[in-house]
Amino acid sequence: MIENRPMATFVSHTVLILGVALIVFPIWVMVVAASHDALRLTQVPLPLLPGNQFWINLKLLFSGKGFSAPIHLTLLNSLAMALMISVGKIVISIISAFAIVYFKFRFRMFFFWMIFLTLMLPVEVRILPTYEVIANFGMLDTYAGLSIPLIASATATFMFRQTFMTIPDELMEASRIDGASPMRFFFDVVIPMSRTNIAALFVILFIFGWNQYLWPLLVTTDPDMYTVVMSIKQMLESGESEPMWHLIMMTALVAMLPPILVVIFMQKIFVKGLTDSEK
Amino acid sequence: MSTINMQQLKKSYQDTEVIHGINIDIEEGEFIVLVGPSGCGKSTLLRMVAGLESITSGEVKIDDKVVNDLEPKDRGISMVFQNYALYPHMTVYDNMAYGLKLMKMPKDEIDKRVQDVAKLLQIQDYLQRRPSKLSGGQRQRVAMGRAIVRDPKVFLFDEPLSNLDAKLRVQMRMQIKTLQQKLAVTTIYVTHDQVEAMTMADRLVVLNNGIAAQIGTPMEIYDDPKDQFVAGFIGSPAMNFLDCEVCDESIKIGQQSIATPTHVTQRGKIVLGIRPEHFNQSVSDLQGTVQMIEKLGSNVLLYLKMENSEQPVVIQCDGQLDAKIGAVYPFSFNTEKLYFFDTNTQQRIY
Ligand SMILES: Nc1ncnc2c1ncn2[C@@H]1O[C@H](COP(=O)(O)OP(=O)(O)OP(=O)(O)O)[C@@H](O)[C@H]1O
Ligand SMILES: [Mg+2]
Repeated sequence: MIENRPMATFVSHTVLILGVALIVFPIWVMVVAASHDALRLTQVPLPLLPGNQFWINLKLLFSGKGFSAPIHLTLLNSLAMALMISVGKIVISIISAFAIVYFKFRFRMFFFWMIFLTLMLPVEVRILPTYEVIANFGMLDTYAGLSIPLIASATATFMFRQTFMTIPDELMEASRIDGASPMRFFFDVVIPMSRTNIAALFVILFIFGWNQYLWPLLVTTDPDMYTVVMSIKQMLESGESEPMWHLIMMTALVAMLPPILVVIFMQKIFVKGLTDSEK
Repeated sequence: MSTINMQQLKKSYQDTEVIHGINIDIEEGEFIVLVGPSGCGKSTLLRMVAGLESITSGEVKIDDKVVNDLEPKDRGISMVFQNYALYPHMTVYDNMAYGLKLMKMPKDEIDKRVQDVAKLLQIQDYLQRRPSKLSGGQRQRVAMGRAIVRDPKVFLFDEPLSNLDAKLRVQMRMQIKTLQQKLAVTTIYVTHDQVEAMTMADRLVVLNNGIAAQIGTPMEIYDDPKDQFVAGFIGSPAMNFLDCEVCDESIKIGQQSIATPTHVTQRGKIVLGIRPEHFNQSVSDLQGTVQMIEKLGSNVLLYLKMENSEQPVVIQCDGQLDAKIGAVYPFSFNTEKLYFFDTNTQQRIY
């Protein structure tokens, strides 16, 4: 739309700026808090400008002094969990969607509805039996225990099913005539044609995995297996001493980085996929 | 070069049969066109030959070998689809090379074949482009190229030109026909456009509701249609059909009448067929009121209404003709070119 109405421009910009400020302000507070020492944060008024302790605080986090585990360990745990969850979800759901869309097997619709039903059973609902199962398998305090129960995904299966249904049947027939087996067709045609969706889904699922809190809290007892999101909460409850706000904020700040990096990096693939879409 | 034989070919979806026993024998290098109205089963029949659709009963033979249970890739066929079905994420080159790669052909052999075919079809300049960056006609040629590189025994086309504009369609029509003659590959071509069918076919198969209504060369079918359906479907503009009653002396069409030709011996109600191009204007024993005029440049189509007759009569006249709507226009039939059909069975009787 090309319009020249200063008032409308002014109003829309105000709204946008307010919206951005609403989100940015807490992050700013976090950055500021992470750059002061413990003492300054117990005094009112709270600082609104950054202090000079940023690097010192950061170093302190990585040394792991005074905490259960150094931050690079928890970061690594989080990364492993988030990657296993997102990659696992994508792999499983893309294969099940492929089966449901392209193969006419017995009870196809039955399985489809079964997958649909699992939408009603998120982790929180089935958490006790799931815990029991994982415990019996001896998977407590392992990466497998952290990620496997979260891998099955009806939503992603649906999304891929929708994507596959937009791929014309004639392409499948053309590839059959070209002599491609179903799996060749899957790898040579279906996956390349869904890469935008895979990228988009990866972003969403990575953040979903990264932000998991309740489940890791249950299955990990060994501090070496803590995830970074958990460790923030752990630090708040660090016994009788005052919570160390500067370190907590610093941890939160560092914990935010990987999801941001994923978004920025995937966005490129995503936008590229959207602009030269050729379906 | 290969022969194809279809014997008592039938196809049912669940309980509904859509192909009711078709027999066609195709000779080496022949260009066969399957033509018929929408939904008559052309695509289904073609896809049964391709192996994309299972065969309910009957046999398909290619080179005298039953192929019913062979995978499409093992039948030695290539297919060109209506929407081209090019792989959107591959370049033109890769689109053409994909099937050959799957055959595990050596790289330099693939390259040679793709380059040769690209030259043949004049698509060398786009080999590195994606299909989305090509025009409709270019995509059409790439789809042809993908079919040709495989060096198949049989080409199958399913309405390959229906997404092109009229002018390009005429061009591509000639190109496909010339190419097929040059390569001498047995071809089955599906279309619902009867002009395409007439101009391209060595032999035509007119399909009606899953039955082969007539098989023959285009001129055989034009001159000698077996029933009213074929007569009405082949020829453009379509044949006129008039309900009439045959008496000893004359054939009554509404209030008007013409002399009964000597070879017409049946009496009573009958359907008379006459093509728009088979009217006489010099003599005139009939007349009608002009309802509509279509000027096509080289000729003019007159839509006449005859008294007491529901069906309008379409006459193809000279381009110079000057007629007015509402005027009474005298005409007569070229009595050599009359067709007569049974009212009930719609079979041709004379
Ligand atoms: N998968 C299917 N299940 C049930 N009926 C089908 C199926 N595919 C086709 N049919 C029916 O079979 C008949 C023939 O279909 P087909 O696609 O061969 O027609 P066609 O002659 O190619 O028509 P068009 O010119 O519109 O492409 C139609 O009546 C159609 O409804
Ligand atoms: Mg069709």
